[in-house]
Amino acid sequence: MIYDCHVHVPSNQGTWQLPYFPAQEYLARMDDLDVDVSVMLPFDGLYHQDPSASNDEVVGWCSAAPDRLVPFGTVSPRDPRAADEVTRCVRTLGMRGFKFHPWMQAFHPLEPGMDPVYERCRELGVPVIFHDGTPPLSTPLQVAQVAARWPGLVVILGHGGLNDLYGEAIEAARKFEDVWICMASLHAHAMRQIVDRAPRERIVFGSDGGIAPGDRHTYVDYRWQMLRDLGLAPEVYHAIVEDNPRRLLAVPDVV
Amino acid sequence: MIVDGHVTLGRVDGVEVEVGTLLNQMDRAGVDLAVVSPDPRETAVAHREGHDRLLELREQYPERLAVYATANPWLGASAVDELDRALSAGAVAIKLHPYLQGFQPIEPIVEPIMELAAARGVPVYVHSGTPVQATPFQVAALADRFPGVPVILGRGGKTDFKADAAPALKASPNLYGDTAHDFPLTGMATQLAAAGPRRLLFTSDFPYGDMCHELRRARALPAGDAALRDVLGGNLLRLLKAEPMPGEPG
Repeated sequence: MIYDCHVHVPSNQGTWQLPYFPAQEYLARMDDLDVDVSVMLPFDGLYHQDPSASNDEVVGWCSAAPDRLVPFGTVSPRDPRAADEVTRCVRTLGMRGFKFHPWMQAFHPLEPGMDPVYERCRELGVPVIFHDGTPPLSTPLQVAQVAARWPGLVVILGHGGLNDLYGEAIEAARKFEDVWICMASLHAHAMRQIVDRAPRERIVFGSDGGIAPGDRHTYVDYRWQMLRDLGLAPEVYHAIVEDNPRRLLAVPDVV
Repeated sequence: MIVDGHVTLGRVDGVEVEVGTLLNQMDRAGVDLAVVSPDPRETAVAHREGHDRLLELREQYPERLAVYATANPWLGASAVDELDRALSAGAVAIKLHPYLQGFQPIEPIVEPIMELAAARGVPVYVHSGTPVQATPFQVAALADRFPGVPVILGRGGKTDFKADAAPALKASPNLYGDTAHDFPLTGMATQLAAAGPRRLLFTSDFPYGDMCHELRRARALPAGDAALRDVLGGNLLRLLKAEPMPGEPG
């Protein structure tokens, strides 16, 4: 069972002028690439003040194949009802985690308004994945402070620091045991550094698919080939694309 | 002729990147010539050491390697002297790395180096994409002050300043785009649309980028054959004033 832990659902509102694509189209590409499960992250919800409609849409999109498309939601960091939306997403909609993008959503990861959201995610046993790798609001060590403040909450660095801050991502994962790294949109050297130096049991891979749907999602193909051509030992490769994501996405007993 | 406009040899993140590894990647990818940069330590502080090391490698592989010269602008006149020496000894272009070398491209300390580039008629590759020191618009501002010097927007502002690359390229006619770490239908196509086929350069940024992958993606750029030949080598050869290989359209 192969997992892709960082894929974007299409925008329903033409965000970034990107064309919409149906779930069946993406599932067909997953089949071509031998990907069994994709973690589907919200897109429109990061842009709009009330993301609850987007959360509904994400779940609706993923309902085409609930066993293969794992929905993550988001909430508005400054909405006092955000923690309630977390509960609704998990308990009512069956979402399995939450995505936050500090510079798109314009908040600092440690902003006090987010405390109830993190607390609720921890109570419900669902991970949070952050865009990371870009100052001033999304450096890996900034994001890792969420894990430091909320022990037991799984915090995923959604991009492993990107091309310039992968060293910070490695530092963060070594320092905090609930920090995971998703290798998405990294260059080959950064991926090798992460695999060599970060805790192997907390590394997963993501294609960052969905944001470049042109030409039948060739972007996703490129990204998987980059990972495959790293020449990782088979057991390391399988930890990253199978064993680790299965543990990461395990449905908690408390739900 | 396929020319890779920017690679690094030496010690990168504690890993020794050997010339044999580079040549092997070039052979596998089908790259004829690569322009090699000193490693991070040599870029930051040990310029002469880096130049001597790379120029010696170039002596061994004159048809496969060309060399960037770099020097920290804070060294003032001695930076210019070392760059001048390296260019006389065979380096073909200048590289600046604002965050490794600790300056912003708009600072006056860079001017003597740009004046040397103008006098020598060589292009200047500037690493970009890492704030606070290397945003694309800072690099474009530098290019605007020296309109006679071709300035390469290294990494095209990636990762999260890539959206600045197209407007910067559009406004600054001596600024050149860079395909490294980009994708043919997204960032590469955007840079191509802004700069035109004569101002986009293929670079793999090896060892950060995998050369085979980088070239495969650049080859998929939605452009005609002639434009693609320019991007994959012709443009840089023109900047380096090199003659096309026999039988090559250049």
